[in-house]
Amino acid sequence: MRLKSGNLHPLGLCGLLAAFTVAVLAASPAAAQEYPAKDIRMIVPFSAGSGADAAARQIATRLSEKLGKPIIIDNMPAGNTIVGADTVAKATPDGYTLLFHATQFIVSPALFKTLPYDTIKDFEPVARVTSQSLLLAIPTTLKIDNLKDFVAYAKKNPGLNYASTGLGSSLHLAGAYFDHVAGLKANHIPYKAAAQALADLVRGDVAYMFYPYPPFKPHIDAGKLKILGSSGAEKPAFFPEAQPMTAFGYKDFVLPAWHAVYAPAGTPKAIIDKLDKTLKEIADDPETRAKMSAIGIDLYYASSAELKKLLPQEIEKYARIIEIADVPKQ
Amino acid sequence: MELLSNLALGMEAAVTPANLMYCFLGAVLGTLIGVLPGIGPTATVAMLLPLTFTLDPLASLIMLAGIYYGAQYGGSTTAILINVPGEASAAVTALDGHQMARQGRAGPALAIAAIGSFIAGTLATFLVALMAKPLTAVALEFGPPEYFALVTLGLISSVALAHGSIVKALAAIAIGILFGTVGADLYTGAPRFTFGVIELTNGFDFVAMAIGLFGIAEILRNLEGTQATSLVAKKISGLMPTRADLKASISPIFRGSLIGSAIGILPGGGAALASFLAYSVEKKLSDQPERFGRGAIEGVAGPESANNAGAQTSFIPMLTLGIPTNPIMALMIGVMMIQGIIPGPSVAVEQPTLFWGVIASMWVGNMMLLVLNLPLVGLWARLLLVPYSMMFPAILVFSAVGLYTINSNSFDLYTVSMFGLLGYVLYKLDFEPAPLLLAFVLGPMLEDSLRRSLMLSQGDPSILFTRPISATLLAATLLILAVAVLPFVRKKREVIFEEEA
Amino acid sequence: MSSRVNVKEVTAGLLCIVIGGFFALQSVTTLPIGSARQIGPGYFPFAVGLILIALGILIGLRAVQPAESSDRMQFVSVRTMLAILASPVVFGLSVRPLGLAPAIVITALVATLAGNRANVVQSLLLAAGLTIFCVAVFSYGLGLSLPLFGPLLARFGV
Repeated sequence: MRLKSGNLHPLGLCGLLAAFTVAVLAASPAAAQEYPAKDIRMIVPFSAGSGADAAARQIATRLSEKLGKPIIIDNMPAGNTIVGADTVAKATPDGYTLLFHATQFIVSPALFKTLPYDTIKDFEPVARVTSQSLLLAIPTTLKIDNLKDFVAYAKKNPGLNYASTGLGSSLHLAGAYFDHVAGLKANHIPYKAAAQALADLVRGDVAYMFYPYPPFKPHIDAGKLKILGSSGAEKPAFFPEAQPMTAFGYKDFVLPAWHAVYAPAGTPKAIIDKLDKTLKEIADDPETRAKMSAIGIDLYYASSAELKKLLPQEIEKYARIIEIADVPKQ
Repeated sequence: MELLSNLALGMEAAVTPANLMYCFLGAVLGTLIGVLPGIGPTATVAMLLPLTFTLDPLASLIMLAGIYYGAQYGGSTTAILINVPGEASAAVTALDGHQMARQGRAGPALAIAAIGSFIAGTLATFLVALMAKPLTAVALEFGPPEYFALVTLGLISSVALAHGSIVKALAAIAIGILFGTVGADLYTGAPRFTFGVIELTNGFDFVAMAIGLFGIAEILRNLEGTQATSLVAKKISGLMPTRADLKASISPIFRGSLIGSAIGILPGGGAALASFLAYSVEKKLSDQPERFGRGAIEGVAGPESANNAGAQTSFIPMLTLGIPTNPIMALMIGVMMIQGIIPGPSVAVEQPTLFWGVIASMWVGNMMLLVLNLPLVGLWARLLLVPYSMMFPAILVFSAVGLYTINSNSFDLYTVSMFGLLGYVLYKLDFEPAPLLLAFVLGPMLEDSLRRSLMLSQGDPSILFTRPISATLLAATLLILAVAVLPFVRKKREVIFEEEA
Repeated sequence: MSSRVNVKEVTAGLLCIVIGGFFALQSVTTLPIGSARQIGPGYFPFAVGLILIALGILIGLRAVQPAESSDRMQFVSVRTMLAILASPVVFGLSVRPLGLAPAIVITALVATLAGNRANVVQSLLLAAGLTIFCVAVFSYGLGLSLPLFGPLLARFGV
């Protein structure tokens, strides 16, 4: 420890005293051991208990079992996920700070005029872990039971409302893109709380909505909502009745939400490889698959290298959809 | 009879030694964490969430319910003792609760909060068991116009929170609404009054604002001039409520329970309204409304009961529809999903033990709180005897650390100072922080629901008056304005006159 | 003070007018007001801002009536005010770079500067006690992921 000799301010002295006391408590033989030698902090830029948080916790639990060190989830939802992502971008690239992010990560560059970080340059992709199909639901009061009839109905009645959980959210973009490819003229109605959007959909104030499966389930069971399609590339494992939009001729309508793990740029390759390999094992684990499926998420693995290639493509794709959806830059 | 057999099934599951222990553990931890200033129930539940991941689903939900009730009670304790509310409803408890504490009556205030919560909890548990289905249907009927009407009703009645000038109360509401508009606009994404600060995209943090307006402003007030050595001016007089206290509280407790139960089931932050409405009702019904804000025990009993009843009934839409009525219920759904359970009507049918077990454990949890907290009342009350020169740095440190744990965001701490200054200035000018805080919470709901209503109706404002629930609520608002507020204004002005004379 | 206007009330009115004016002005100049069908982001704050201005004028007008309240207002000293308002800010600034433990120590010490009874020994003891308590509760009890000592200190080998 470097200290100026001579006059030591009482404030500094006290800081030191306390520092030493706790340093002794916290000291651990961390230095040059095999990664991971200490707890890993995983920043999740969503609030605790949200869908992304649930996914992160599932993955983190498995990851920590396999790596043998605790992974601590740090929820940092401030500033539309930007603050959390920025914290990782500026963290020491030693493998002990990771980011678990959702589709918002790829949408942000097109949505915000300025970001404090560079989505490509400041991060090292570790692996993509999920694919979450968004289902297209309509209220059964419409008495329509397939997508073709719904599109016909919507064309006859322009000005239908569709709900989302906010401007530029993956739900909004899926809805807006559907509006575009099917040639409808629907109104976007954003909600702060998904619960209210759902209630308005069930009541019929809103005509359609893309959303993950679990919140729909009770209403599907109760016969209040009908699922017409899914934004995933394939039928989701948890609800095989939902046909992908591609099956209805909307060729490039593949917009699942997805989650991936990132590390700060400059993280040693050996660490990235180890994490990547472990995440692949997790993605292949049937028990994890079943657990994730229960919360409406399919495991979907893409390696660090594949994710590196995928990122710019996805960023470009969402930038195009944001333009189509006519979302003003924030 | 089905109700009884269901409850019996639930009881059986909830009172196994292991589950009783989890319930107790949850209540203890919840109280201990919730009592730290700056940490409200949402933060407490979020922080303790990971503890429950390894338990089986029923045990984890039971423990979380315990944490939730414990945290709520802990939060009320902080509000009463040092005037730092951790959530909107506790701001109401602080109004009269803290005044009682300053008069040396922290004991009765805390005790009546615990007793009121228990009675309200018991009533609400039966209500949940009895009415889950029909109440759920009502909750689903609430669309944007209905919310608009409900929030208008809430804001208009909140004028009763003030014990001074009505005009200033209205001004405080307007200021609260304006601060609530800060952040990215939901509909266009346009940043409003953020001046390029990314942290303001989601608006000001509620807890930061509450700590500033109430906690910091209170500390500044206490440090004026010759500083008092401790918070209580008088001697602590009796830890338990007197017979007169109990008598005064019993009706407010029942009225509060009813109001809370009804509003708790509405999704979207309606719960904050419950305490405010209960307080307004008590003040309105009182023979001596001028006692409110100066340590009236009814002002603690009513809102606390409403708050707890609402906490209970907020489980209804969560369990039956998977619709979270507040952030804590959203967390609960998160837990259920992590446990592989999707909340919805099927839960009651497919897993009756879980469903009824959770409901029964609510009652057990409230019981635990009573058992746990009545003996602790003395300890909490004595905490006030700690020299103030040690107390206020402790409050500042706990608030800072607690707030930081919620969002890991330093910006929130700068907001605390800003609102602390504002709170002090407002206090000096006789504005009241409680209506401001309520308006801050409800303002965005008011704007959202108005704009959403007009979007749904394609610009036709008649949507607000033609839907039955919304029309009824708006009519009730008008009625309150016409019948209550007009004579109320006259009466209040007399009170002011008396004060100033 | 025996002025004919009530200074406190006039200040209160002015404060309302300033806050309301600020929001109303910002709304019209930087945000679209929108149409009846699609209310713009500026509409609501503009309207509420105007209402607040009106309320402010009302408060100010009533203040012109001669008021009897002649009691001098008592304020907190500047030093106390600065110390109290600075302590959350100091925590916010120091918690990431220095870590939890040093941040608590500094925050507590800054806070104690506000009291006029504080002495150095008591302040130090209090800071140490609060630090140990918070570290025990938040770091060990709740498993808060915040480092006890931040990167700035780690560089010096703590």
